[in-house]
Amino acid sequence: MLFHTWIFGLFFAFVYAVYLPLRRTRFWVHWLLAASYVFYGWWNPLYLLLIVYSTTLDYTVGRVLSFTRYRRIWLLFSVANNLFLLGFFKYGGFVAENLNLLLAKLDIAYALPKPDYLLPVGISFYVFQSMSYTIDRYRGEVPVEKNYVRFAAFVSLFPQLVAGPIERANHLLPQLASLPVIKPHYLSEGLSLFVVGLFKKLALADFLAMYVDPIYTAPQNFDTLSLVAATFAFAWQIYFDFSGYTDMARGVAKTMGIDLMLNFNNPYLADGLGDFWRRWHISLSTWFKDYVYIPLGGNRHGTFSTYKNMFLTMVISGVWHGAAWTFVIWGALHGLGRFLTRELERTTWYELRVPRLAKQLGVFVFVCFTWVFFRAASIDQALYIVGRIFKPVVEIFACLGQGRPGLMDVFHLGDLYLDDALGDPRFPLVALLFCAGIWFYQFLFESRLRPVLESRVVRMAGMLLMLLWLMFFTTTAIRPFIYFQF
Amino acid sequence: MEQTGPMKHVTIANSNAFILSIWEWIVVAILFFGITGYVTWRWPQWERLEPGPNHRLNCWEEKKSDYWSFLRWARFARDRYPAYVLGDSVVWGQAAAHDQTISAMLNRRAGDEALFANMGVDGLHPIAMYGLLKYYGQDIRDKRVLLVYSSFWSGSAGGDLRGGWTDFFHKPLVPQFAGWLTGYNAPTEERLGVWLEHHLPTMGLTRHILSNYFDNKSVQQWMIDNPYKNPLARIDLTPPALLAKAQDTEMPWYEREEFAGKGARGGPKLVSSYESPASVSRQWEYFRKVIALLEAQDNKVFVLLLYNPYVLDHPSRRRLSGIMEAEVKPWLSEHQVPFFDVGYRVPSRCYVDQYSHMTPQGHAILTEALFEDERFRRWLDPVVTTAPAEAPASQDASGS
Repeated sequence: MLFHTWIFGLFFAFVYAVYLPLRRTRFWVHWLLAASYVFYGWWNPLYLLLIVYSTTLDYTVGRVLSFTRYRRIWLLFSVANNLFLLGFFKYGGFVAENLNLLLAKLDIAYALPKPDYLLPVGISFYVFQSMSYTIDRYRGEVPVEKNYVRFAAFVSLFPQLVAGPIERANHLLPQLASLPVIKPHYLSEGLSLFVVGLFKKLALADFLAMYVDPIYTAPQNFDTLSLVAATFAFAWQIYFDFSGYTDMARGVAKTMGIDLMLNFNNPYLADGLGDFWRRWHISLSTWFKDYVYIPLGGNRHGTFSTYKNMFLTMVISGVWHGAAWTFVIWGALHGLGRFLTRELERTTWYELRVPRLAKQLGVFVFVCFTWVFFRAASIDQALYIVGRIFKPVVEIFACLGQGRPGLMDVFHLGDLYLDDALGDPRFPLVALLFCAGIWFYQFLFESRLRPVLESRVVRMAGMLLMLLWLMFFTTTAIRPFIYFQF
Repeated sequence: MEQTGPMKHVTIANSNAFILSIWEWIVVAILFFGITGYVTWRWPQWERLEPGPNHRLNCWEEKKSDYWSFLRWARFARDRYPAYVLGDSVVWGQAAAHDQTISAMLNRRAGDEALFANMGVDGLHPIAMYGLLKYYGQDIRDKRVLLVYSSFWSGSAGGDLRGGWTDFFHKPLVPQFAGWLTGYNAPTEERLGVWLEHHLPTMGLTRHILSNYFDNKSVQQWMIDNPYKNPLARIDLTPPALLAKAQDTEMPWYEREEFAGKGARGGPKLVSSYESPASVSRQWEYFRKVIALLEAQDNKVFVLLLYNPYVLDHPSRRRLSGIMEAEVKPWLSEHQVPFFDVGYRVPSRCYVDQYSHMTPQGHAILTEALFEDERFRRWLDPVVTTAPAEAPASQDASGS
């Protein structure tokens, strides 16, 4: 069930109609859990077994940790189980495929069968959420949750179940422990978030997807400029798609009196890669920081160890996103980028002399470059795209390296590539205006002019325009969210 | 991320300023519904429909699902025409120019070009016709309605939408949540969207705008195909153009490739049909519903029983005749619905295919036959008082 469907509208209307009177009774959490299981079971009821298993496991371990002497063993048992779930359902095919390649290289005439089951939707999200509770219990950072229904509702809360934000027990469980308060302005705030999320998804992400998909499906049919434009468009598509989902999730939860954490904070305004990861998928970044980077040693054991830990964390983050080498490379590139820029960012020259806009553009260009690996279907395809994008630059440098050509020579070279590399990208001007306008809006939002954006007229006019655009101009085809596959 | 000023009431962190209070939402909702309602109300005045004589809907290709245009045409015709001819492409006039259709011929014969309005829609199975009238035909009220029963629909289980035939037109008009069709497998989400489109006039208008100005694509898809064009400039408020020309040739059915010389002894290939009685036919079931719906709107219905008998093999003709005589006509008589069975009155050469599409000459012959018919004249009276003209040639031996 997707947020931007009529079915979800009916589902939520029914759930909410029952929720409102029940919220004053102790059965409100039961209702929330039932709704969440229906929401999740809509894809495939069998997948509910997985979520119930993960819930029961971490609930039990969470309770056992209160009295057992073998706390570490129980923790490892929980983590291993959760990772096995992820590994089996998400990475089974990937592992089998690579082992088979290895066996073939070693001339061993045996091939592992490739699993043909579907990846359960959102497994990476709820497994991480459930696992974080056990780790926090082990660390003594959260009290034991004795109520199974409440814990199950925490793991499976339907607004954020399939694509986050990945909530922490110390933030969400207390909200589920007391009767929810729904003030009238929670409804208006929730509705505002939902409409903005809907606009991001339907009007922007799906629009850009129409441009990106054909190009990334057959990149060999497109020239350099089209590939650059498609990569630029994908950067915005994935931002609008994922942050749109998060906005809708937070909006739905808010109307039910539940606060979910901010997951995106204008990431393309980041002026450093570290800053980017403090703004992009915040709930996942903080999860990796707290449960991977810091346990690995964080920055406590010198520069080399710090960079090693950063790199490892980013590679694992890449693997979390998908079972393919392209995601590993995507994570590694971010790790490498962080390694290359962190010291630079600390210099006085960079901090004081380089304009913030230049830093922001630099980060955006680098992030766009990494998205090539994220979006491409294979490493070969990604390398082809990167090669094609940089081919004119490489050729020009090669020409310059052969002597000291004059300006006209470079222009002549440009002519040679004009037809081949710099064709008409056919990027819709309206989409370009949207991206540029929203980028500009975000700049203003983080500037001293923010009060202008917060003025009543601007907010109301913006909301009205979004509603009218959704009414008249959006597509009727339903596209799933990109992050559902993770 | 503490809020100040007009957003100080906001209790949730956000990365943009689009958070509205309840009162602001109320104002936005009033403006939104006001604007969409106003646009929906005013659109027919902005996009002026000024049809000439013998107008017919542009309902082909990407404009097939533009049902808002049907609604507007029916509304326009309400004040100008006392009678409607309702049916599928046979009525629309697939093999005839716009001034040679059944309604045009009837008007010419009656000497009044504003007597019958052509309400034919291509590919309109009676199941879809029922949906079309239910959601977009409220203005067909207190009129004479000449309703064409193109019986070829029920000739096969597939055509009758009883089988698993999935490739049929006007899926948005078939029942979405009741009376499931085995060949209609749209997901619930799509059915809900269709249902809303029928019930929210603005959504129907949106479909019209998309089909009329954006090749029936979403505006976004259109912008992908036309990246440097302004989509708003595309809306030039020109109504769908009249398709004046015929959409098919006048070649007789037995000369067409699929029939010519492919039958016994080198004759035309004949079709075997009508295996099932009308009692199991979806067409017949919904045709009766259409009659009930039209009569509930105070219309006086006259049924034209139409088929190309020449294309059928002998057993099929017998079966069809049995269905007509034993089931269809008795029901119509019982419910006091006047009817006219075209039978063999139109010669074989005037049919262009097995779907009962006729040449202009066929329409002319049919018109004369109708005006000769006492029941038809009585039904039409007092809208028009007519006398039978010279009897035309009505039999043709080539296919009988």
